[in-house]
Amino acid sequence: MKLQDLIFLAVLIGLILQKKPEWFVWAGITSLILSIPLFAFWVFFTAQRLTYYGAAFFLAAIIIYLIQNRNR
Amino acid sequence: MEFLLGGDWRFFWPENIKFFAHVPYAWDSSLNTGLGIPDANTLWITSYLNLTASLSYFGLSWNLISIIFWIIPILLISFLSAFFLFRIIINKNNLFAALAGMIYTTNTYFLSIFLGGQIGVAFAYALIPFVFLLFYKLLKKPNYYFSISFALVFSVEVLFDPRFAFLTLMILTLYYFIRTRLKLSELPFIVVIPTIITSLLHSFWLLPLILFKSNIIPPGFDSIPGVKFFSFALFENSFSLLHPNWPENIFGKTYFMRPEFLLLPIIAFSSLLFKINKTILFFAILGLIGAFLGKGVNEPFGEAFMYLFENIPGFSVFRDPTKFFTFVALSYSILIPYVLFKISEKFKNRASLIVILFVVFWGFTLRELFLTNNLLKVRVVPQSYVQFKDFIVDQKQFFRTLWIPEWQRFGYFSDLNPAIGRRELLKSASASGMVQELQKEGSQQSLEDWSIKYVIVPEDSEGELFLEDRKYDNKKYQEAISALEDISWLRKSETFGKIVVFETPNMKDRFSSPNDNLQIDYKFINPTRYKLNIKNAEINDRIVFAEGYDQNWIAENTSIKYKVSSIKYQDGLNSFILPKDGDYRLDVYYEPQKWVNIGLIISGITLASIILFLIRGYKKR
Repeated sequence: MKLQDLIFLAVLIGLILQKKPEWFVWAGITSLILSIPLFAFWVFFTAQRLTYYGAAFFLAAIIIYLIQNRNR
Repeated sequence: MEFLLGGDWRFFWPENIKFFAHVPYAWDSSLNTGLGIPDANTLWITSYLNLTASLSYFGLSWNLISIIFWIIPILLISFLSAFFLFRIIINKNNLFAALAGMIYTTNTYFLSIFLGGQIGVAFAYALIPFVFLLFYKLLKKPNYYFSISFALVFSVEVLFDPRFAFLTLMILTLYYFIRTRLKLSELPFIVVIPTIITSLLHSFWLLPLILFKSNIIPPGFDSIPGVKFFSFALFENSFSLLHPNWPENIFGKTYFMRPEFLLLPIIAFSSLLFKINKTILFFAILGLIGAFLGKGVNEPFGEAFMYLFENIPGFSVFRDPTKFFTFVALSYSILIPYVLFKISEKFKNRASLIVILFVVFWGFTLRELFLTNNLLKVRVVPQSYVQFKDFIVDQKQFFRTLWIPEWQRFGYFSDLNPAIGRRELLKSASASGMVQELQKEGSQQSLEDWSIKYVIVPEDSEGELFLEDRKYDNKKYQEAISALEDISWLRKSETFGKIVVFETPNMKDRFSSPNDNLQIDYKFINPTRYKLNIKNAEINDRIVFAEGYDQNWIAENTSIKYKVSSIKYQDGLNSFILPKDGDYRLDVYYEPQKWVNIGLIISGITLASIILFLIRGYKKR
């Protein structure tokens, strides 16, 4: 597991504890924004990983929204 | 003469388009092969080709037919279906609905398939939002009218590409279960009626396919190396709706990630920051699923795609995973305008500015479309191919041509003169390998048995055939000619520009016999039926029929109670053993065609009934 993955997991766990889906969305958007300059400078490994993390954050947000929707 | 689209889109001459203007046939003599193959598993799209080809009888050129009945409908349907989907399920704002249409119709995935000439695929893609919209209406008001309307449009999508219809079913199923729990009372309208109607409308190819146990999935589609090879897209591609072959659209040639495309998922998933409803959640999930599957077996979790590929029946049709880009395209074409619309609500009177800024950005991502002249180039048919076509047509005789290394897109072909050149006879991939095959003992006999009169080295006007590192290599072209010149039994007979024609000495006719005393006169009725007059036959004489072997070819004479199936002869040809001495007639026909004809009647009656019902039910809906 790379350092990037550890940071991602730490952020993910922190956000799960908060259970606020908007925060996941912001985390996903931030990941993608960070990946843009990395792709531009051909730092592909971290840039690719950031896109994975971005998608994972969005997925987490969707899951929480769905659960909230069901509980309503 | 000009030709509009490249890639897989077919070019037809005025002389050969009429050969394809007929009812759908279960046997393909020349369209996708030079040897003859069963056609039930592609009859869906071929039937629309047959229909539009029929317009050539009204004097329309293939170019005009392509524009009026293929290209314009695709672009219009694609734009309008996304436009109305946004208007009806999100917001009635025309400006942002137009943005939805623009995104759906001009993203790099759609442009790659459309400009790459995959017009049937593009048609099916264009219909997806329309099918979705009718499903949406059906769920709102489950009744016969919407159920039948949905079934009709879904059937049209199946006609153009059953794989995309399969993708659409996945989308609809996902939507259904996100929107609501399963309601049994809805099932007759959303499942039973559409299934019955779609099956009836497509019975003209489903019946022969089922009764004769043909494979709808071509052989080799389930190969594991195949799906690994076709997984061109990386996750960042699929997530950003950036086709991996964009911009050059050369198959398999991928490029570094273009970071500006990442703005698309950023905008699209910002939709989750606004007031959330199930529709927005559905499109967000759809986008994520599409991004995940569109990358195929690549990271992250590529094993998941491999698992689906190996374990879900029929999933192997998605060995090219980029088809899942469709999910992303549909998702983003709704979510992006939705986000921009929501932003515009916060900045009143700035809606136009927001849309203009996005359109400028969108244009920037597609800049190669305008800056390079390769993507939208109108191709001119070389004069050499016009001369070659005249040379073939003037002979008015059945024979085949064999193209080394491959048939060229402008090379003339018809049911009277099929062109072999898609590795159906010679298996080597290169011209040199093919020439080596021709040099083997028995190859002359084989070519003559297959009625091959000419061996052709094409002029590679499009730079597609003689390639070295994806670029035209004249040396390879010259080597092919020199090697064929060294084959003693081939005679160099004609040259048209850079097209070089070699002739075989003694090609056989479509029907022949090892017994030289047997005289066979035959009449070509259509690709699935021939009428033969046999003279001087002796019992157990063999008639050889130079079409690809298929046991469903039947020889019959009812008056002498003779009916036999084809027996495989050497080189993979058909043959029939004669029942008695003397002179008599024979019908040779392809049996699955009977079921195509029955299916056409069923399909026709169903279509007419549906149209009548929809017209009568329009006001009551």
